[in-house]
Amino acid sequence: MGRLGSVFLVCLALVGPVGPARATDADTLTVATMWEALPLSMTARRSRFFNESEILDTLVKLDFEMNLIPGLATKWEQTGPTDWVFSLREGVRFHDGSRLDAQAVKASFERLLALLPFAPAQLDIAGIDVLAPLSVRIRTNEPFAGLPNQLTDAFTGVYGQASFDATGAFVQPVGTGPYRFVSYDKQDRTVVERFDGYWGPPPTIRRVVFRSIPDHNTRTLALEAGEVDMAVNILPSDAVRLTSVPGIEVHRQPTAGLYYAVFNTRDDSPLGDVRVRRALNVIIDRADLVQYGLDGVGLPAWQFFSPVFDWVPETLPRYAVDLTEAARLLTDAGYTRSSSNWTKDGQPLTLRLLSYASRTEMQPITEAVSAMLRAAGIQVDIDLHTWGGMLTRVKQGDFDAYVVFWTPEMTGHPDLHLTPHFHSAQNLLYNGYVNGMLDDLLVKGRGLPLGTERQETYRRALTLIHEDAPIAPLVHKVAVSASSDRVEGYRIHPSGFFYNFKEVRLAAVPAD
Amino acid sequence: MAGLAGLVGLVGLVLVGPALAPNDPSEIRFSQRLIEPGAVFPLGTDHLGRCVLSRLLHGLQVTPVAAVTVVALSAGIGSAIGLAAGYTGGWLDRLAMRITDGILIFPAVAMAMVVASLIGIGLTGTIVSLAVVHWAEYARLVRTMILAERAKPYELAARALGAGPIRILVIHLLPNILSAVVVLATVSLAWAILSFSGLSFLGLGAEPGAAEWGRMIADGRTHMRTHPHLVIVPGLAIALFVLAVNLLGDVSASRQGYASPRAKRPPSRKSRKKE
Repeated sequence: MGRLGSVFLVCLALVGPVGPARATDADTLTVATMWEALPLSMTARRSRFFNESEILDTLVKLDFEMNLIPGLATKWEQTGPTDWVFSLREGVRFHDGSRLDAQAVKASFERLLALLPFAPAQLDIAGIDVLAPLSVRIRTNEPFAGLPNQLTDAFTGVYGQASFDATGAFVQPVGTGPYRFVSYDKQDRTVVERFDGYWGPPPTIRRVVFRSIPDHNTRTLALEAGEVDMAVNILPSDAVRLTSVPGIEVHRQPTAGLYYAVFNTRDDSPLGDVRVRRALNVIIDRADLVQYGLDGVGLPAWQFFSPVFDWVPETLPRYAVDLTEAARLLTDAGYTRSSSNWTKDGQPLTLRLLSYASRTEMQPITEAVSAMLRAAGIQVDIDLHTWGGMLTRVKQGDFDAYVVFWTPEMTGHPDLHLTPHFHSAQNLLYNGYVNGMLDDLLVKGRGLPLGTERQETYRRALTLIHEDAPIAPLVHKVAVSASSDRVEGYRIHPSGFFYNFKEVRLAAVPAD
Repeated sequence: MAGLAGLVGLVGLVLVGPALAPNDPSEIRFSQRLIEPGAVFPLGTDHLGRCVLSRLLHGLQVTPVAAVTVVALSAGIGSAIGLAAGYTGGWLDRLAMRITDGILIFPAVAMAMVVASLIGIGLTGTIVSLAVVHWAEYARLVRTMILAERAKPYELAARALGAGPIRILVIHLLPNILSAVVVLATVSLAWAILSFSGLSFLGLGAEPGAAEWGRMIADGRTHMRTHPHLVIVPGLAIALFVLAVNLLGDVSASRQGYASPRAKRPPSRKSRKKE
């Protein structure tokens, strides 16, 4: 960076924070987040903040290997095709002092089913029965083997009665978790404090402050200036740079998140032809994409689910870069390569590629993908929008492909992502993809318990998706956070939506 | 003379700039990304391996040209509305001026963002959206000056000789107010450049991948800490260009007899009283 760099750093020093802005409070952890916490809304980011901050507990939880572990329910069993009985933990109290019992769980689920528009479809709950003071039965409409997994999702956190006002509207989160909600300053910070009546081992940190710092550079600078103890969602380039900054620790963890391109499978798009979709899938070099689009922070995605999760069948087919195969597929589809472009009936093969700019990684990924396609003789028009603007166009079918990010596996069950996106009745990809055989497999998989039959069903479903290529998986996200070295015991959870601060300690800072 | 030389210099720069580019500004070279400034890439390469200097030089024909288009559109539309409103008076005047007021009370860039998101992201959309908010200043200026000019005896003389309203407006009144419009145009050119780059920075202006300065800054942010020149160089380019245009505006303003380039509101109080 040389001279320009030094000039820049001097400028930074001049505008940097003045005076003692250091986060040295012995039992307060300050975290800078990209998304604002928004604790006064249930719908914001599907209630994820309540799970991240652990204000609320879910009935079932995921450990760091994505296995189900007891949460507010100590055990659960399937008593019939659509019936599940959950035994609740004894002696659990809400932050307002009231007791957690079956009645409270039933009331909480009824509230969230009424208040969250997506909840009924996600949970498929037909009814909840109180069997005993600490035992509830949840009945689903269809056989749904993934229910315990689904009950790890942040939006299913158990709310205390005091979370709602007399009309049943949400007021503030009152849960059973290790931290209770204290205050919220719009677009600035949310504060939570240790709840002394917590049912588990008490956290050592008394107070956690979630600062909203949306800009990546500002967030990292706040960490380096000692203004915050931890920053999440670090830029890939900073993830590399920060490893050599003294006093800063960089945490990396492969997560369930996936960057992928969705193809318009309707006939009015060139991608309506499955051969073109497959060709695209073998043109895009995912390893290069990670290296050049994300500075090496990510895992190349040759298949839909990240192979780091051990339930993904090992025998799944996967894509590999093969330009000869791509040329054969395009020739089969009626294209001829003249000069540098593939053409058909005198028209160059041109794709309209959408993405959105609010997630910083989307643009470099989209640009890198289009550079690879252009190099292979396919014209690409990139069209970046806001998330909402892109979604509007996607819903109108006004695209050939679009690049998005999604967290497919945050509950550790394949159904959560597969059914909404690939089942033709839901088709949240809005790409017109229909495969009756896949629909049947997805419905079947939903009803199957863990075991070889389920494994085989999902292997077949994922193979169909691989062959039909309605999408091109691109990169499995590697989450990056960075903390000051006084933060001890922090690990990034592979679901991507859980900080586990109750097990984090703050080392004493020597007075200076 | 200095002003003329400056103008010729700027126009020359815009015309020949891209021809001086050492490399293809949009060619992506993954293997040569984030190269430090050197012989092949005098200002280094960006995160996709594109030559920064070449992008900067090609950018000369994006932002300034777009800004000139914005100013020409706004000046044309705004002056026409101002002429019509000022000369006709009555309900047309009141209606046009209330709409103008309505547009002027909004922060221009914020409103341009709304318009850009309605029309769509891209060069054309942004030019139109900036023109949509910017014409009002011209309409206000021209209308005020027309009110002043209309009250002068030469207008009455022209009317007495049987000239029609179009002839009076175009042959007699317009030449007398044109200098003020030109001054406003040079001043607002700098505004247009900054706004256009600003909108591009926010992702609403030039298309992704375009060699546009604001866009280059936005793209460079992801590697700002390791390669600060990706942000500093286009930032300096914008600053210098705006400075040059502003100086030009100053020169033209003082030549036309306006003390400062902030002469957007020439003696209007008096004329309004006569209304």
